[in-house]
Amino acid sequence: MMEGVQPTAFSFIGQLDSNNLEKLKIMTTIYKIFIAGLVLLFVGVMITSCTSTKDTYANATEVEDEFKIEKSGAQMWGEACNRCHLAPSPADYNDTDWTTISLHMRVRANLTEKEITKIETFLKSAN
Amino acid sequence: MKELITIIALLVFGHTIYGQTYNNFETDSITDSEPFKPSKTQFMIRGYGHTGLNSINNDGETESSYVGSAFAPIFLFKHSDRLMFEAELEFVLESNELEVGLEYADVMYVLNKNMTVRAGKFLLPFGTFMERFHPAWINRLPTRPLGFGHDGIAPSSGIGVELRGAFELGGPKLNYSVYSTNGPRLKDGSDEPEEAGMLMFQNFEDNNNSKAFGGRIGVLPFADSSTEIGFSTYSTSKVGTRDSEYEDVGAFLYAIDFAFVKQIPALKGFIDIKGQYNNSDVDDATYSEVHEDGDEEEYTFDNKSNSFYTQLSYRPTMASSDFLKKLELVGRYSNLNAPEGAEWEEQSDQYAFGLNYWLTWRSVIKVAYQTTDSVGGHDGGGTANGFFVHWAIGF
Ligand code: HEC
Repeated sequence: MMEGVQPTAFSFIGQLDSNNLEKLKIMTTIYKIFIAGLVLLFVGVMITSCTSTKDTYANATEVEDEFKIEKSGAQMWGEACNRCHLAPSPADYNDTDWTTISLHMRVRANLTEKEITKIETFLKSAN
Repeated sequence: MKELITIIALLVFGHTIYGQTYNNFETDSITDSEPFKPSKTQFMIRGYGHTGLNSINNDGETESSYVGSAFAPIFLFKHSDRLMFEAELEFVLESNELEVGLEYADVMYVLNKNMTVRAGKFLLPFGTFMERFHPAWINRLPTRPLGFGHDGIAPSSGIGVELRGAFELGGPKLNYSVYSTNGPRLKDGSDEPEEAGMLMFQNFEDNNNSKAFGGRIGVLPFADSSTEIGFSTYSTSKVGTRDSEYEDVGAFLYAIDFAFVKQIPALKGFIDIKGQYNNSDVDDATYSEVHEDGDEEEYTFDNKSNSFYTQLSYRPTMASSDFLKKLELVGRYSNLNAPEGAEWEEQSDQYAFGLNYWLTWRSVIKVAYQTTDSVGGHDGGGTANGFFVHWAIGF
């Protein structure tokens, strides 16, 4: 194979006999895998570092939730539902109606998911 | 024989009874079903109405009339936990005619926990008054502040699409909305010369390809949701009809809103403060005025308007008397400045005071006094005092 081998970039490896060539092939494959791995790792780190902001943030709120006494749905109802009109009492509607109203108010009043889920649960439990 | 008949009869009836028992307890889906399970699809008719007596004294002339009789049914169709359609029709008796309006009709879909998309005709989140406080059972006074409603400078609804949502910031909250609608039309004065230069926000079909873009950011800085500050914009590069000399007239509007609602034990009740400032800037254009003798005169003016209102109300919800608990005191100041040099030039200041009695959370009797001082405007200015007794009910 490959008579009169020219000095190549890999000539330092030694004479490229078929054995060596086999080795070289394996090495380039390993090298490729290594590079691909690095790229993946880099991308992975990038993604994780970006999401990790969110994670720490979520953790922070969780921690905060743990230490602060978590606001009850009833308290949130008293605060959020009085902002525009007088807050309706839980007894004013049945569960099915509260589901519809909650979706309506969530969108109209731009409430956060947390607020509306807690309030909805409270309204349904107290009617 | 009789016995045979009896036995057969017994067998037949017994069988039926057995059949029934069998049906009742094992296969009958009605009795066998779990307790009431709501369906995901739901349809609700809601809405509101109001009626009342207005007595308005305009520079010495008193006009008194039973008014309103407004009926506004609202239809809510919930298709799933994420998909919903809402529509409001409005029937109003005005100037001896029945006016029917489609206040809004839009479909909304919750995309994720922070984002909902709406499409159709919706109330615009330009400030908060029109989107949140205008229904008669929510508005603490029988009238709207200056600058809203007919010939108002703030847009109230639009046809288009919108993305909105809210974020929890661990206590503080942030909400946003961005939308694109058919832009407003410019009244060029060809139909109503006295309104040349005004924007008309009703634009069911766009008169040019330029859309309006707008949005609002609201911040609730405190965990108790008592306070909200909002900033809104609304802009369009073209308001004139395509190929007309007004085609390239643009407009930029912005609003700042404020709300504070909180039960304060020291004051034994709810304090409710609301406010909104609107500013409108339409590019200058030349309009023409036809004098009585037939001469035509061209004129232009700096087309900038603004309006402002602030309202304070107090409900002694922690009072010991049941009667007092249902009372509410309200005061509001508002003003409007329409451009100098326009046919609709106006500077008005208005004070309104009211005493409300809440029958339920959605039904209120409002007694109010309002005084407006204006220079210019539709009625040529002067002082108008009004006395109102209204009854609003939501259902
Ligand atoms: C940002 C203002 C705002 C907040 C906050 C708000 N609402 Fe409303 N609510 C409205 C408006 C505006 C309407 C009237 C809708 C209409 O007429 O188009 C309404 C209507 C209602 C209705 C009548 C039925 C319906 O869906 O139209 C109920 C019930 C209701 N709200 C309950 C609540 C509850 C419960 C909360 C607390 C989670 C709440 N609202 C918070 C603005 C608000």
